[in-house]
Amino acid sequence: MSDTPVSGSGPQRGPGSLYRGCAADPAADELLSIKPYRCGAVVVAVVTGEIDMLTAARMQETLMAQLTPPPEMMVIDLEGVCFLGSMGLTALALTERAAREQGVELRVVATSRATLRPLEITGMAGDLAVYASREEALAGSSGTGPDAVPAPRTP
Amino acid sequence: MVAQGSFPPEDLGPRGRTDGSGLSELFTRLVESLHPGAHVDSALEPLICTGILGQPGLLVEVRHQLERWANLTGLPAPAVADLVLSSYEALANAAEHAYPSGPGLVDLVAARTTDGRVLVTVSDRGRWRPPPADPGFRGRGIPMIKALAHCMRVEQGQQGTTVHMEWALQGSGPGSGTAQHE
Repeated sequence: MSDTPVSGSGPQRGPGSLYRGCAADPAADELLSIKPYRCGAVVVAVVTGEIDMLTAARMQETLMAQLTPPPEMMVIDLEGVCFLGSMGLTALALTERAAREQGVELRVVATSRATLRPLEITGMAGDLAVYASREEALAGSSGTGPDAVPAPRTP
Repeated sequence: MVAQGSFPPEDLGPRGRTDGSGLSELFTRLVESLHPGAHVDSALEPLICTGILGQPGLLVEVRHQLERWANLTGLPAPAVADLVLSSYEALANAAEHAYPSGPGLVDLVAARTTDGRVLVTVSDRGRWRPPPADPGFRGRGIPMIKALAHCMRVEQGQQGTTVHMEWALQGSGPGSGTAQHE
């Protein structure tokens, strides 16, 4: 999987895509952007777009990379995510396990039905620390606060 | 709405070729052959995507096309979202489990019926590997489909595996679905 820096173009798709004849991966960077921000002992990862077979591995890779060196807390902000498939849930579960093993507190911001619905029907909403806003997730943390991270863009 | 691909003749009932009655009738016959007793609502052309190579990049395109189609069905937005997620999980399962040695072909057929249902069928032409005793962090796809679809059933046959999913246009608000399976 690519570890290319996240593109800033957001989840837009070019016209004229076909089922066959197109390479499988060029769209992946456009479908999902993952922007990690480190503020003191806190990492906020702002995820925007669609998390599926094509993009979940890259998200997991990017999130895992933020655990070294381990911050005190990592907030995964899914507010801008409009599709979350089971591969994305698996990536979140594996990231949570890795964070726990390193003593990193992991918090997830999920506000829309697109993210809450899959988290809830799989029972993962009970396994993860889910917050309704980034501010709430960061509350009480020793980081520099939410102001250091730009507001999420809606896809 | 025609996706690329060829129709598998075995799915078309008596004969793949029609007597000049056109693609719409062909689609209708295909859907009705998959769903005995169902009558396709001719006001909305079914979505037929056959012969999709089960690669992640291609399944994304099918998901987007299905979402555009589902928005035309009259299902409320939460049910459209459930349909798209559920169908994508079925596609991903078919692509992942049916063809361990590399991508194989996957089919998706979606239609609205005259009695107010939206049917989605996802088929592969391979053999599913038995699920591991402890799927661990994986294996969420089928449980998700059971939770998201108003009805679902899985048919495993010699020619592959088919997942049938169904949503009712009426009373299809969030949480109203009861999953069924065989």
